[in-house]
Amino acid sequence: MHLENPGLLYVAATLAPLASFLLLLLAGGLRLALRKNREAGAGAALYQMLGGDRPHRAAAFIATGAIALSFVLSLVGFVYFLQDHPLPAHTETPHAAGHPEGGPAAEASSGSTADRWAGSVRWAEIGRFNSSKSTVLALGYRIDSLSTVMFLMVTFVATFIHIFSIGYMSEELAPVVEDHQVHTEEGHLHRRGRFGRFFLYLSLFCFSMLNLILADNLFQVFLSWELVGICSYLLIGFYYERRSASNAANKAFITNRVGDAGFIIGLLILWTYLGTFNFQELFHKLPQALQDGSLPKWALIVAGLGIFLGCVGKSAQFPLHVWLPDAMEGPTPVSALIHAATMVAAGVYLVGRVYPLFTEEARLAIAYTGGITLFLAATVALVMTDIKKVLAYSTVSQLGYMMLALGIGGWVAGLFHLITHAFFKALLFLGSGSVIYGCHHEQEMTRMGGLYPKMKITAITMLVGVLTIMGFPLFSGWYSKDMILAQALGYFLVHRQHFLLFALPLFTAGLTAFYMFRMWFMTFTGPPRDEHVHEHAHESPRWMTVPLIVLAVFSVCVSWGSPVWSAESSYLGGHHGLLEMSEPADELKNLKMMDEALNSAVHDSHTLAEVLAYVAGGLGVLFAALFYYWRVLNPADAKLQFAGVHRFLWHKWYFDELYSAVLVRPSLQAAHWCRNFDTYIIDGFINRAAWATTMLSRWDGIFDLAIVDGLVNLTGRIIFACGAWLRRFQTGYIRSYVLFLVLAAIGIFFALTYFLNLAAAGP
Amino acid sequence: MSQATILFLIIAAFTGLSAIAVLVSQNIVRSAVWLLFTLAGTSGVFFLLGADFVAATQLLIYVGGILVLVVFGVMLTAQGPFITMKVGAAEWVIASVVGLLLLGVLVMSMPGPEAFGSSEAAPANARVSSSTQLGETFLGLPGAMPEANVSGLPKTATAVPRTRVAYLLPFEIVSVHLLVVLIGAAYLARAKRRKGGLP
Amino acid sequence: MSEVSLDHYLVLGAVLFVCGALCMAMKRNAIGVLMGVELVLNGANINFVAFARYNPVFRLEGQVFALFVIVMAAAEAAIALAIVLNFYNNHMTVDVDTAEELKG
Repeated sequence: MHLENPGLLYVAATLAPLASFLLLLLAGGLRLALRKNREAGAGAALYQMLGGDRPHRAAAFIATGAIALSFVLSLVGFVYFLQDHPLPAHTETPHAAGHPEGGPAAEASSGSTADRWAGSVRWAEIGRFNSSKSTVLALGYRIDSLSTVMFLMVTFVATFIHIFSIGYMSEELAPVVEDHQVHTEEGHLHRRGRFGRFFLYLSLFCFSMLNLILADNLFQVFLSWELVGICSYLLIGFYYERRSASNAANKAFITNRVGDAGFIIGLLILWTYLGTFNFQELFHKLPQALQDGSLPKWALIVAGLGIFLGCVGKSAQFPLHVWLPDAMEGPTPVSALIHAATMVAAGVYLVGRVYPLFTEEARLAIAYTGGITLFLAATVALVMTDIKKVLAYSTVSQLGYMMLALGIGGWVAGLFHLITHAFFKALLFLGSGSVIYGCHHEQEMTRMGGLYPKMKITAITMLVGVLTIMGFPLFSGWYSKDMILAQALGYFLVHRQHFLLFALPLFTAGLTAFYMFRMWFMTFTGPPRDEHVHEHAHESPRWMTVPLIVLAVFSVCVSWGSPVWSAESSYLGGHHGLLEMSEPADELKNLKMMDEALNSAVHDSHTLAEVLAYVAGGLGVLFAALFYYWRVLNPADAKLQFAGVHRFLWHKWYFDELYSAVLVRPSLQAAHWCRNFDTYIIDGFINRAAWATTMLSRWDGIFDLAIVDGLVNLTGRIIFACGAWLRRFQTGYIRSYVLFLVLAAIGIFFALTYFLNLAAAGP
Repeated sequence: MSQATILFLIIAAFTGLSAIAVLVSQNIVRSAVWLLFTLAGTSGVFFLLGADFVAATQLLIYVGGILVLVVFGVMLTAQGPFITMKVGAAEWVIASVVGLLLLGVLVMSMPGPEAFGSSEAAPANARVSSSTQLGETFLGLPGAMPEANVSGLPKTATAVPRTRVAYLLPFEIVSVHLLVVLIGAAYLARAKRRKGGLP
Repeated sequence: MSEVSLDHYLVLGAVLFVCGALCMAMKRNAIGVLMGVELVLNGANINFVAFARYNPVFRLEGQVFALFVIVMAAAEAAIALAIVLNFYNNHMTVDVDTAEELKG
C-alpha cells in the first residue's frame, strides 16, 4: 500500500496517547463533577457508567490500547522506512543512505524522500516586526533511523509496562485503599483508589516522550522536556500523602529545573547567534557561522555545556543525580518506564541528536561527567539493600556509560547501549516489581532470600536481565557494552592523558557484575532471611509475568545480527546497522570533528577491550558468588572491616548532606532572615508608623476638643454671659422700666438740645 | 418786687413743695392729700396766667373728679391698716440723681427770651378774657377764631394766608372719647368673683 | 428777679414734671403711680398755658390744648383706675412689684 507521507504515521503514533489522555481526563472530570449527584437524578446513571465510587478498569484498557496502537503504527512506519532507506550492504558507505537529503543510492527519490519523512507546522513567529531577524517556532517532525528505533523501543516497552501495571496497580481499583505508610490520628490513611489517574498520567507521559523523539527543532524538544518532567513529578508523587513521596517528587522536579536552566541558556545562545531552533538548519549554519566569526567559539562551548546541563539533570548524571534514587518512591511500573527506559534516556538521546553542536571541550566535559557518574553510582549500589535502590543506582551508572561513550566519539555505541539498556532495565524493574508484589510490598533484600522455588518465572527472567547487564556474551548488553569499552580503549590509546576514561568504565564493569549478582543471589537464593515474608510469597499473576517473559526475550535478542556472535554485524548497532545510518558523519566532517585516527584505533582495540571486559565481569561474578552464593566470605565481616568506606557509600557519598548544607539550609536561612526582616523591620516600621499616627490623632483629638471646641464653646459662653448680664435689666418691675424710660428721655432731650439744635429751631 | 411776683413765688413754692411731698410721703392717703394741694396750686398758676376757664376746669375736673377717683381707688384697694410699701435707700439715691439730671436737662433746654421776641406778656394778650373767647372758638364763631400758623408747608414766596381754625370738631371728638372711656372703665371695673378673697 | 417771665413758669412746670416722673418710678403703690401720671400732666399743662400767655403766636391754642389734656387726663385716670382695680382683684395687692411676670 502506497502512502504519501509515512512520516505522518509517526505523528499519529504520537497523538494516540494524547487522545487517550484527553479522553481519560474528560471522563475523570465528568465523574468528579457528577459525584455530588450520585444518589439520584440524571447524573447518577452517567456517574455509575463512568465507574461510580470505584475507578473503572476501562481506563487501563484505553491507555494500553492507545499505546499499543502507537506501537503498531510505529511498526508499520518502520516497515515503510526500511522500504525507503534499506540497510546498506557491507560494500556501500552506510552514512549516505541514511540521510533523507540524499547520497548516491537515494538520489533519484531524494526530493520526495525528504517530504515523506519530514514536515512541520508553523506555530508562532517571534520578532515579527523585524522580519529579517524573526524566528519561526514550528511544530515539526523528522524521521530518521534513530527516530524509528527510539519509537519502536519506547512504544514497545511502554505497552508492556502498561499491561504489567494493570496487574500491579490492581489494588487501586478498590473504592477505599489503606496506605500503610501514612499515619493519621485514626491509624493508617484511608483514601479513594486512584487506578484511573495512574493511566491518565502514563498516557500524558507517553505522548510527551514520543513528541520529544519526533521533534525536529529544539523548542519542541524543550516543550516535551518540561512535560515529561511534569509527568515524572506527578508519578513519583503518586502516593502523595506519604511525606517521603512528595519530597522525592519535589526533589526530582527541582533538580531537573536546575538542569533546565542550563538548557534555556543553550537555547538562548543558539537563537541569538544562529537565529533558528531547527536541527537541520542549525547544523547547516554552524560551520559557516564558526568560520566567519558570527558565532564565537566560547558561545558555542557555553551553548553546548548549557544543553548538556539539561541532559545532566534529566539523565541523572553527577552532580544532579540525587533525584533518581529518591524517585523510587513512585510505583514500580513508573520506575521501570520513566526512570529506566525512557525519560532518563531522553538526555542521552538529546546529546546524540545535537551532537555536532558540541565542541571538543564540551565533549570532553560530557565524557568525564559520564565517567564520574558511572563509577560513583556503581560504588553506592554495592551497599544498597533496597532492591529498587540497587536498580536505580545501576540505572545512573549505565547512563554514565552512555554519556561517556558519546563524549569520546562513540555516537553509535552510546545510543546502542541506550536501546539495549531500555529493554533489560525495564525487565529488571518489572521483575523487582513482581518480587515486591509477591512478597506483599516488601522491598528490603535483607528480608528476602530463597525465593527461587516460589517465583520461578520472575527469578529466571531477572537472571536474564542480570546476565545482560553484566555483558554475558550473546545477550544484548554484551554488544553495546563491548562497543563502549572498545571506544574507550581506542580513545585512551590515542589520547594517553585520559586514561581515567578507560580505567573507570572497565573497573565499573566489574562492580556492575558484582552488585547485580549480589542482588540476584540475596533475593532468590540461600535460606530465607524472614520466615514470614517467605511463607506468604507467591508468583505474580499472568498480567505481570507475561511482560517479563517478553521483555526477557527481547533483551536477549534485540541486538542480534547475522552472524550472531559478531558485534559488528548487529542490525541495530553494528557496522551498517540502523543506528549508524543516522550518525551525523557529514556534519562532523564539515566541522572537522571527525577523527579518523580515533576510528581506526577503536577498530583495532576491539578484541583487547573484549578480553578485558570478560576479565572484569568474571571477577565481579566470582566475588558476588563468594559472598552471597557459596557464602565463603562473610559480607558482615567485610562491612565491619571497611566500616568507614561502607558508611561513606551507604550515605551515597554524603551528597544529600552536602546539598542540604550548601543549598537547602542556606535557602531556609535566607527565608528565615527574610521573614524576620519582614516581621521585625518592615512590620515594625509599619507598626511604629501606625503608632505614631495613633499618637498624632490622639493629639489632634485633644487639640480639636480643647482648642477648637474650646473656642466655639467660649464664643457661646461669652454670648450667654452677655445675655445673662443683659437679662438683669429685665427686672419685671414697672418702676425700673419707668426709670429707664426717664433716662432715655433725658438722653434724647440732651441730644436734641445740644447736638441737633432742634429745640432752638423757631417757627 | 411787684405784687405779681410775690404772688407767683408763693403759689409756685406751694405747688412745688406739694409735688415733692407727693413724691416723698410714704402713706398713700397722705400722698393723695398732697396731690390735692398740688392740683390746687396748679389751678392758682393758671389763674395767674390769665387762663380762667382752664383754671376753673382744672379745679372742677382734676380736683373734684380725678382726685376723688384716686381717693376712691385708694379706699377700694386698701389692705387692712394702710401698710407702707417702702423703697430701698439705694433706689432713692438713684432716683434723686436721675430726677436731678432730668430737671437739669429740662431747664437747660428752655429757650431764652430771645426766642420769642419779648419775654413780657404782650399787651395784645391782655385782651384775653379766655372763657368767652374759648367758648366762641369752640362753637366756631367766625369772629373769634384765632389765626393759626400752619407748619409743614413749603416756604414759598407767596405768604401762606393764615387760616382760621375751628375747634368744634375736636370738641365733639373729646365728647365721644369721654363716652367711650366711661364705658371702658365700667367694663374694666365690673364686679367679678375675686380670686381667693380679701387677705 | 424783676419780672416773672416765661422761664419761671417753665421751671415750675419742669419741677412738677420731674416729681411726677419720679413718682411713677418710685412708688410701689399703683395709685401712687397714678398720682405721678397726674403730676406729669399737670406740669405739661402749666407749660402749655405759660406758652399761651407769653408767646405772641401761641395765643389761645395753648389753653385749648390744656383743656384737652385735662379731659384726657380724666379719661385716662378712669381707665387706669379700672386697670388697677383689676390688678387688685387678681393679685390681692396693689404693690406693683408683685407684677413681675415679665422678669427675664
